[in-house]
Amino acid sequence: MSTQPPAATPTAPDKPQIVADSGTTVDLLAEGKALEFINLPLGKELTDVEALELAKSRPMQWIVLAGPIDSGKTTLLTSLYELFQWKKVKGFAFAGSTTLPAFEERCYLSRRDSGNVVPHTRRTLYEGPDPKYLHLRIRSTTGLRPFTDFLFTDVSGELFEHARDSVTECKEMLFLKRAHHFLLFLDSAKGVQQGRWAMADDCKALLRSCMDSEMIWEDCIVNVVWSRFDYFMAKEAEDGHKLFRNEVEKEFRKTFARLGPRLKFSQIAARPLEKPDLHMGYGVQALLDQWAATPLEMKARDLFPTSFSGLRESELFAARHFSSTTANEANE
Amino acid sequence: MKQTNNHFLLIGLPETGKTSFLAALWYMVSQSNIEFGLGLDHLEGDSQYLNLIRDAWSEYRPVPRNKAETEKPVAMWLKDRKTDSVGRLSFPDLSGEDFRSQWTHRQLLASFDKSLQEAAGGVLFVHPDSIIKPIRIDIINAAVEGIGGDKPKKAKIKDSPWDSEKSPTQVQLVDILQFMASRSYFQAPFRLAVVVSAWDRVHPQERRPSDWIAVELPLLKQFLESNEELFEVSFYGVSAQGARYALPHFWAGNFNDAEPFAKRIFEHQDAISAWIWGKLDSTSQETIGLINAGNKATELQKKALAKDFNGLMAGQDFYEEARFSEVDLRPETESLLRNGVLQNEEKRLYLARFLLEDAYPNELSREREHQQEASELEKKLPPNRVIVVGDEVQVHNDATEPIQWLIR
Repeated sequence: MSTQPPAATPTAPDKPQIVADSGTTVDLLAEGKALEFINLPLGKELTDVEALELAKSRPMQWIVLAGPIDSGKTTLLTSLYELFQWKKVKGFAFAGSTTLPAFEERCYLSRRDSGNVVPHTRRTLYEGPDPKYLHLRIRSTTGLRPFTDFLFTDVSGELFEHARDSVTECKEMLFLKRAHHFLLFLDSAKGVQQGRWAMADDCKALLRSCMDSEMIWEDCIVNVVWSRFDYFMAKEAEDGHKLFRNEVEKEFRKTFARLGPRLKFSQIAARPLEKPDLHMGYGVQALLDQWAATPLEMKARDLFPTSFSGLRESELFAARHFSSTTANEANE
Repeated sequence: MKQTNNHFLLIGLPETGKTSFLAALWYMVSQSNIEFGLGLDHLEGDSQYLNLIRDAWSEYRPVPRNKAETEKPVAMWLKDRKTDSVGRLSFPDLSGEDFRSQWTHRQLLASFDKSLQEAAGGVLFVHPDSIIKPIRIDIINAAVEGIGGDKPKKAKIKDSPWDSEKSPTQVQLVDILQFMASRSYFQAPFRLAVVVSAWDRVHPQERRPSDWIAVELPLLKQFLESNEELFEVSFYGVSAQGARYALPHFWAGNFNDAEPFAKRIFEHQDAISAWIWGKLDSTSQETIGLINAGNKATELQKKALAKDFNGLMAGQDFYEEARFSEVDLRPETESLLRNGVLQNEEKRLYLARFLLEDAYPNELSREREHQQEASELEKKLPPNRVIVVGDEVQVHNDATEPIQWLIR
């Protein structure tokens, strides 16, 4: 029996390929005989192209998680996934994920089996301007029980630091245009320390850069998320914390008045170590309710606007798909 | 005869009770004088492996696990005695490890894929003792603090690479089912009988198997409920063994009041004691010394000692004629020696335990773990030892119930 590791690229499910003892991959159907193994999709985070492929098959809610390094973006994703693992989500049930191994890998350091005594999330590494995605499919447990599919970005905070400082860099982040929800992370752990005003200003600058470069879609909901909110709750009695938050939110409302009701504020404590009585995933259910309630008005072809004319793999894919969609519509 | 040509599979991660179920099923469908819901119509392939596991089941021994690389695919054609419907239950040459490798190595045996193409349904096994849960560190820490324990000190983060084998059972099972549903040939609804094995150990037994799954494997339950258009599911609790067996292994209880036994090993004046002393690791030697001195060993120490003894007994070098030449062997031991049990990996442990008991007739307790439970089991007639529960179950000792539901 072969102990060869699987090929690096997931195999298309309708064209089974097999790894022989030699490690060579041969076409099962062409050979006409059953060899040993079929490679399965790796289930790791999806590339831009893979995410677009998935979005061709069914409507997706695209959720962009934006914010500086270590502001809790990946921890939010892991806690959402863990809430389903423990059936702590009301009104929705887990219905599947094409990226289960990717979720598991991100949860590992916060699990007992990792050998740690303090939970941790590994930092997402910077790998260029294209994002990686995690997929989650849920189903309402009430009414007509519709399915909802989510694609969450999981990108390094470093990418957003580049975008904050440069509209040109921001324009490279094509995935922003697809977002139904743009979550901007304000780290409450830094909100209780000196330098908190700079932290808030940096986040404001990031949103401004995204708006000025017109990378945020006109119906996209912008949610400013106070992450690690347990830090505020643990120190609420201390002077100035509440005032700080109020001032920051007031400043955001004024600066981004054009967003109107599309600008929202949320508080989450995905892993509330500073105030454990809040329980895992504090505030996450409210976000999920908000996402699932958003109608999917974006047509499939809006994912591939004509202005995307670069040479990146995802842009070429988009161009191909867009031209075929247009041709089909013309024929009809 | 209504031949539906339905083809069903057995699916499950390692050590989830597939083989025990198969042994009980093979016993039941091949009975003529007692009629269970399904009878054997005919068998495809060789019955050698099925007979081997049935014999072990009948003798209250652990059934040998499926050795995928040596076994040829076998299929039972089973007939419903009431409706005459026939179904084909196949167990492709796939062990639990192969199912696990779908998750850990992202590989699938082509032979399983072929079986899957023909399948209209399957039996998915889970075992209460082998479930890996997604235990979070913060939950443990909160529980420790809740009972007055200390808050964990700041510690350096171990950035160890992800070990996919430690992923929760429910995630691995969802992944297997998702993969099945993604195949181009998959035909919904796929009938899935979810069997919770070793149901005799689930408390309270009045619990519904579907409720047990909802509590113990909530992600799997949600997935199945959300995808009811893909999977038509029925839940069962099955104890194919009927109870735990009294195995020859040492257990912690063997070292309660074990001072005389420990004394002989510690002093190692005879050939067998000297051999054992030399083989025990230093921790076990310390525990033996402790017991010899009249002290009580902790449960942890006794368990470690039992594990060490079990390792000795399983070794091929355990028996040597000269070493046991002074021992007065009982007839059962001599019979096992004559019948070549030393060469039989599955039975060697029984012989080794007999040999030790003969060598230490007054010092070593003959008490086995779960002895009482096993004695009660052995009093039952074989057809009555199986436990089957579930909403669809009509006969509560009929292992064919889940297959009947699939064929129905």
